[in-house]
Amino acid sequence: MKHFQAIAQPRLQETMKNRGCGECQSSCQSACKTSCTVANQSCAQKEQAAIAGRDGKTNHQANR
Amino acid sequence: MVHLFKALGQAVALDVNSGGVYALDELAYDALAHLIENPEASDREILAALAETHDQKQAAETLAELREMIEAGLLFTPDVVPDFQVNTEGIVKAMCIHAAHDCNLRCKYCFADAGEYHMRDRSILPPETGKKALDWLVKKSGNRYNLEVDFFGGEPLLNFPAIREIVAYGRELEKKYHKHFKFTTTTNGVNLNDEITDFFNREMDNVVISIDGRPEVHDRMRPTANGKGSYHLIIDKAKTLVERRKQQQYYIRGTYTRYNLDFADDVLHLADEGFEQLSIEPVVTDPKHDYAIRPEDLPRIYAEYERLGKEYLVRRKDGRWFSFFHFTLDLTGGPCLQKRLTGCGAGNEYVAVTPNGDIYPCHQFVGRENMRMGSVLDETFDSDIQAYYKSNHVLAKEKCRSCWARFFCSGGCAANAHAFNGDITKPYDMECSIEQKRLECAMAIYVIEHKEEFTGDSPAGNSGI
Repeated sequence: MKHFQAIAQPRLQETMKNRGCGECQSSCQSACKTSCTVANQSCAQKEQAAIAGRDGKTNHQANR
Repeated sequence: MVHLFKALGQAVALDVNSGGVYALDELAYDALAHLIENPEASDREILAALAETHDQKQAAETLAELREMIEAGLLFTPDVVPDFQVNTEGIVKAMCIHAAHDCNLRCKYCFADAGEYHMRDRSILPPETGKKALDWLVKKSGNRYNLEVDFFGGEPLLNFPAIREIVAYGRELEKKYHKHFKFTTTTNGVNLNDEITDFFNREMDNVVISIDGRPEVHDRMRPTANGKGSYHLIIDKAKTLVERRKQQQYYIRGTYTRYNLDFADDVLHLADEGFEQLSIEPVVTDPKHDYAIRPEDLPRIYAEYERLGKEYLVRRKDGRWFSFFHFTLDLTGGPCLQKRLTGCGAGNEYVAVTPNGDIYPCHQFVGRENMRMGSVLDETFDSDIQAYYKSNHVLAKEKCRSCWARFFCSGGCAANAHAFNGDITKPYDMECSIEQKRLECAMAIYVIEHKEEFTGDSPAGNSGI
C-alpha cells in the first residue's frame, strides 16, 4: 500500500479472550497521581518476555 | 469508529476498537475524512470530491486501498464487548500508604491541602499500622503475585524510619506468602540524603520526585514552610539519586498551572538538567484560584503540547533522548482490553490507607466526606463501595461510550469526576480535552518514530493481508 501505512495492529478485541491476568501496574501508581492514561502502561506478560530479550532494558527505554 | 486527526504535521487514523494505528498521506487523509463525514458515499462521489484537489488516478488508487482495508476488517472494527463485566472478584493489589500527613513544603496547588487532607490532620503513620496495611493487602490480593505499594503524603520522608521498617516487613511477607512487593515512594526530595538515596535505589521499584521545571516556576508554587523557594534544596539531590539509579525506574514529576502555560520550557529545562524520565501534569484545582486552568486556556495548551512534541522528536534523534510520560505509548505491547476498560482500579483493585489506618478509594479521596471504605486496623472493608467502583468501567460511562480515546484513558480519574461533577461516572471535561490532545501527540510521535520501519508494500505494512 502506498497511501496507508500500518504502524500498529494490536487487535485489541482479541485480547479480551484471556480476561486479563491482573499482574500489570496500576496506572495512577506510576507517575501521574492526578490523571489516568492506562495505555502508556505495559502488559506485564509481554514486558517479561521483552525483558528477557532486551538485557533488562525497561519498556520506556526500548525505543532508545 | 475511526478517529482521524493530524498532530505534529502527521496524519493518523486510529481504528478505535482494534487499536490499529495508520500513517496516512494527504490523499488517504482526505479520502477517509470524506468517508467518515459521508458514510454512505459511493466511490464515484468520493472520487468526485477528491478530484477537486488531487490527481484522479492517484485518488482512485487511494480509494481502492481504503476499500481494501475496510474489507479486511482493519478499519471501522465493530464494538466487541457490549456486555462487559469486570472480573476481579474483590481482589485488591495496589495500595497507596500515606506515610505522613505532614509536609515540609506548602505547595499552593496541593490537593492534600499542604498535608492536612482537609482534616486538620498532620499525623504520622505508626510503623505497626503500615505493617497491618501490608497484611491486609496480602489477604485481599488472592492469587496476584505482584503487589504495588506507594509511600505517599504529605511528605513520606518525614517518616522515613517507618518506611524502612514497613519495607523490611514486606520482604518477610514476600517469602511467607509467595508475593512480590513493588514499592514506590513519591517525594518532594527535600529530605533526600545518601542513606535514603541508597535505600531507595535498593528497595524502590520506582521513585517519583516532584519538581515543576524552571526554578522560578517551581519556587512560585512550591515554597517551604517559611515561604522560600525549594528548587535549590532538591535539584542536586534528585540528580544524585538518578545518577546512582542509572536513569532507571523513576520520574521527575511536575505540575503546570495557568502561571506557566509555556510548560514545554519546564519539561525541556528538566531534560537539560539531565533527567530522562519526565512527567508534567496539568493542575487540578478549584476554579476560584488564579492558577487554575480555564477552558479558554485549552488552545494555548494544545499548541504547547505540539511545540513540546516537535522538540521531543528532535532531541530523541540527536542524542538528547528523554521520555515524557504522556507521550509514551506502547501501541503494540500495551495492556489488554480488560485493563483498558477498568482503568486505574481506584476503589476496586487500588486503595489508599491513611496514617490512622483508614481505607479510601485512592489518595485523592482521602479526607472527602463519606468516602471512607474501612480500616486496616479492624479489617473492615465495605465491599458494596468496592463493587460500585468496580462497576465504574469505561463502557459504563455515558460520555465515554462515544469517545475515541476510551481505550487509552479508560474513563479518566474517578476522583476528578467526583470533585467536579459530584459523580464518579461523569468524567471531568477539562481532563478529557487535555488527555485527547496528549494522546494525539503521543500517537503522532509513535507514528513518526516508527513509520520508517514499515516500508514494505504489503497493505498497511505489517498487517499480513
